[in-house]
Amino acid sequence: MSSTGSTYGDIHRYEPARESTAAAIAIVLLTVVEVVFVFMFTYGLVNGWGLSDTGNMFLGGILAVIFIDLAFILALYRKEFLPDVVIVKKRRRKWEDLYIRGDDVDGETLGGDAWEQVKRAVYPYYKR
Amino acid sequence: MTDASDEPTGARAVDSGSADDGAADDSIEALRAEVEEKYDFDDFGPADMAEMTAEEWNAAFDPDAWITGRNLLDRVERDLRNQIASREVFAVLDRRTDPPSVVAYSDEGWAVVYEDGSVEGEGTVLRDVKPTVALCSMDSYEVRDPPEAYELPTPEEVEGGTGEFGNLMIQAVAAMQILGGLGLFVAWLFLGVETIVAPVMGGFFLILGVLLFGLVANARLSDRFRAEEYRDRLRAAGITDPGEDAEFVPFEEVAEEALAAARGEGSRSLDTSVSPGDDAGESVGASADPSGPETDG
Repeated sequence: MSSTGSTYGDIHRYEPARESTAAAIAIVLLTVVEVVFVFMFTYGLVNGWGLSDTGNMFLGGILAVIFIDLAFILALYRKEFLPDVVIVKKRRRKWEDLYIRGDDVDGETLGGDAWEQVKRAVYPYYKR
Repeated sequence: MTDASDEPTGARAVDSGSADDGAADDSIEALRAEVEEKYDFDDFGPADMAEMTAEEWNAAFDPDAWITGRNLLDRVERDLRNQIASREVFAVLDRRTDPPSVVAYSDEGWAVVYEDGSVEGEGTVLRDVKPTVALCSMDSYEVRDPPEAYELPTPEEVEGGTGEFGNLMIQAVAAMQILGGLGLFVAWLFLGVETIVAPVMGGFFLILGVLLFGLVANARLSDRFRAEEYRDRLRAAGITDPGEDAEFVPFEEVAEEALAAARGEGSRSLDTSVSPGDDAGESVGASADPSGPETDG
């Protein structure tokens, strides 16, 4: 693992899922609502609820509820039912890395010709 | 803060605070006043640092203002315990007496903190420990009391397969979506539902259901692999299940070798492999070169 000299991908922290009681109750309720509304939407569409103006809006509302509810279910699932994993990643350059020293304030000039710059931007392994 | 160039004596920065004699004291006071005059310490940059002479630096630097010695090591150890307990740092802690130092090591590096505040080491552990030493040498930094059981978990304490209840719920939603999608298709095909909306929504639901099932499958798989990987890394860092012997090079050996290499006492390559066929302890914080000759540390 470390003999390769690269530590990227190493697991730095692995904490099991929290699975708090409140989250469990919430996700059960949301799931029940989701199931009911999916069934209701299907039933309504087959029975022609959408043929009247109000019914059509009602069906649209049900569809909206289905997807919003699903979003909340997934958010809860991510937060409470997946383990907390931290992985070693490559630190990308950020803007705050640019002017660490006072004499760097003028930045660096973009040397070379433009075509080289394009190649470098498109192809990550281009020679430095 | 760090110097890996020479053997720390452990009493370098401690004794310079005691007064020698009156004359020297006066000249130091005078120089200190001069330095205060000359440099603006509120806006002190690298350029000023380069301009400063060694005498000026010694005059301006008041060793009594910093915590050193045993006290520093205790504080560093407590702070690192806190960080390991909150899993911010992946390392095993150790106190050594010859010379007095705090040692933190993992499979990816190591760090040794001496009484005078110098740090040696390499890798991620060194990077994590350095700021801790700086903080702990300041009076104003409060070190919280670490929890009793701060250590990293043993490999058998790492439990994979948690969150199964959440997986079940997601699967219930996915199953319902697929049923609804199929229902819409069937209605469109056989029950005389004319509208095009039915199959479109049906397809939508089907895709959603399949995606959710895929999500759960991926979560379970990656969870199993990651738990296993984490156990492997813990074993590589020398933490073993109770009743198992670590196939692991003692820290002292590795550290001595690495230190020797770092100080350039002969550019011998290091070989820390214990026995062929073990993957724990391969290169514990040292850049192992399997092709190199055997060195006895």
